Amino acid sequence: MKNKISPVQAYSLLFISRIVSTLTFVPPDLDAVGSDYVAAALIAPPLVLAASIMWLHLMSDGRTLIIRKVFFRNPKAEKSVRFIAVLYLLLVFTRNLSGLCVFAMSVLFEKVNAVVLLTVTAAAVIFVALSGIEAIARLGFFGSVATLLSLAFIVFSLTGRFDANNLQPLFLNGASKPVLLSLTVLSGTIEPFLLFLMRREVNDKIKKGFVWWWAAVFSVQILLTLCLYLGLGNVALRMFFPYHAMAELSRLSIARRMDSLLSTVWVLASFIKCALCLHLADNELKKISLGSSRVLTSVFTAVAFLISLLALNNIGVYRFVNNPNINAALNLPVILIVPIILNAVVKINLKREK
Amino acid sequence: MKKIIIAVVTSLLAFLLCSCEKTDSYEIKNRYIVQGIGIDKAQDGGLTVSFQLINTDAASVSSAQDSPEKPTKCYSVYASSVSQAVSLLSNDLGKRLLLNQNRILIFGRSFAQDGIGRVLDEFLRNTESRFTVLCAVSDKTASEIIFAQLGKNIVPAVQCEKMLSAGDAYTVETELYQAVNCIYDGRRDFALPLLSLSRNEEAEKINCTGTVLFYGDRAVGTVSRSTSFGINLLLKKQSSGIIDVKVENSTVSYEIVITKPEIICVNTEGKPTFELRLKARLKITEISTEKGAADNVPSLEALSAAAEDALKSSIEKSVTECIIKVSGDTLGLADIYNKTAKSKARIDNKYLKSFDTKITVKISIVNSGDFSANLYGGRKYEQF
Repeated sequence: MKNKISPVQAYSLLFISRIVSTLTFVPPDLDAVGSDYVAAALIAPPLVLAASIMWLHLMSDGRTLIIRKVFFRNPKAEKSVRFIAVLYLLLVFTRNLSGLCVFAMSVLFEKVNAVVLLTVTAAAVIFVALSGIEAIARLGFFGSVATLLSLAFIVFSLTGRFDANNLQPLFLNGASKPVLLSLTVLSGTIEPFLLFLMRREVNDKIKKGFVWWWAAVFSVQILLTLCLYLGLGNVALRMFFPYHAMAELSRLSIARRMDSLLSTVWVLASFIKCALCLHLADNELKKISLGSSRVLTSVFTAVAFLISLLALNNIGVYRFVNNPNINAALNLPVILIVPIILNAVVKINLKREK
Repeated sequence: MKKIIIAVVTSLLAFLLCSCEKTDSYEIKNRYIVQGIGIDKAQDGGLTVSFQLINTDAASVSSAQDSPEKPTKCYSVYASSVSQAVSLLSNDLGKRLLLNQNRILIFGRSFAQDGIGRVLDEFLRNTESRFTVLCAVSDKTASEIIFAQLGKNIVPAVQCEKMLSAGDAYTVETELYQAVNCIYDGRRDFALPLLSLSRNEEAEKINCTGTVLFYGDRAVGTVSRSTSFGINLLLKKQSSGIIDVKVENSTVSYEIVITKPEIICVNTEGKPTFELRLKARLKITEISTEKGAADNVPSLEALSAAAEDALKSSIEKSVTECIIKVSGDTLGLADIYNKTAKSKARIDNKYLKSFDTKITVKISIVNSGDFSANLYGGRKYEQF
């Protein structure tokens, strides 16, 4: 089995990962109106691009060497940083696993036994995650194509239900809410960090496709946000899973259950994201070499399993794990602060060397 | 070993994702399929919730009996909420109600006048309920529509759904989420079709006799079917339908092919002025004159002008009745005013009463039909 994947496969995985965050979006602010979310979807892409460039900047071998020299003189320091990265990936994995199971049990099969559903899902995720990056990437490419085609079909079949009256002028209630909401979009985009962790597993110039990925992801996101409010209006903001509600609305001729199509894509995409996070955590654990990484990965999956089980039995736990403010507090340092510090350190060292 | 694990996990997932498990309530024989729900006001602030259910016993029992059972069973339950009513009826019948096949939601007139907002949450929060269900108001009580006896083997809710969604020019088709959007948004009001029951010797019949206008979640007035036509035109709900217009000595039937309405507020300082523009493409389906269509057919210009006048007067009538008489903002004029004036606060409907309107209708006749079309000003047969 080859151990490396192509940039197209890598960006397919990241595309799936970001689209899952969009589809599982729960409106964080009930006071905001649809136009605030549309404005936020328009403000966020430049912010994400600016933040991502900093991670991309760190991906050259020379710069990573400088970082290793400065921060990892002591092997314990390196291990600690890698362990923090593992914990962070575990959190992302837990959020996704709990989101997937809450969605499955609240929308699809209310009566399914939570323990069985979680056990089987977690077992399948571990199996795919430990099969290597190539297996995940193949699934990711297939998942991306399936997701894009399904979303295109859903949007197309929704066009007859659009009501332009649902839209309000952008920034009607001022700019503060759209700006705050755009920060939640930014905090939900951890993909540049995932790309940084994946960089050694990609067999070509990894930076080449980034702008295409960025353009594709945010075009889809802006289009979906617009369709959501054109179709459902502000009712969308009161739904637990607004995009699922949007799919329920769409129909084309005799095809009337588009929500089933979206659910299929949703389950597949969430599954791929879980597997990717677990694989990257396993990679980092191998570098720390604390005993067998497989055992540790299974232990971490068990922790995520327990948290997800609690979330399935208590919506308060789910709300805590997926709280947008907590997510922003944890994600923004990873997306913004860490790369800023690392870039500054690299720059200072490069100047000194000169 | 790996292949065995994959096979086991895949099989388990296949069973799980098909929802195959030991839960008797999922068996169709243990469920009643809800086709229609009616909600009326009861004493002490409670609700009388009426259910029209598909008779799932009929298929198995009818063959053993001389006379087949009715296709539906109807029940009324007194409860304080819709979900309690569902639960009470499920317990009484010993079968769980399957709500996601519900086709219509009917509100009794007096319940609608008190406000329908308190019962809508169940239909959005419960994932089994569909928020795209069609809504209507009954002229008297909702239970009357739910319990209607339309004849043998006719499911009233199916009939009602077909009638409401047929694209009739005079029926304002509104789905639940659209009403909810208006109530929670507060930017515009909504309208629901008014249903009434007529009886003859053999059976009963459900008719759409007008439109009920809402202000917030309360029904504030009723307008006639002809007024509903103008509302449909302006709300872009008009997709098809036939209108009859008197032209010279003939009655002409036009089929609406497509309409494109536009409402613009042109003056936001002082007295608001709204320009109501409509572009429509029509097809002539029938020209009935005293001696038959071949005689004295009106010219194409006359047909076009008559249709323009008819649509213009329909719009004028709708605007006058909705805003001036009923004080409901079904057409969303306040929202259009606010968007144009970039005002955050919703203006009061009383203020809207003093607005000016300018109605412009442009008609193009896309097809005059095959028989005796007077395209050149004279009679067709004289050209030969």
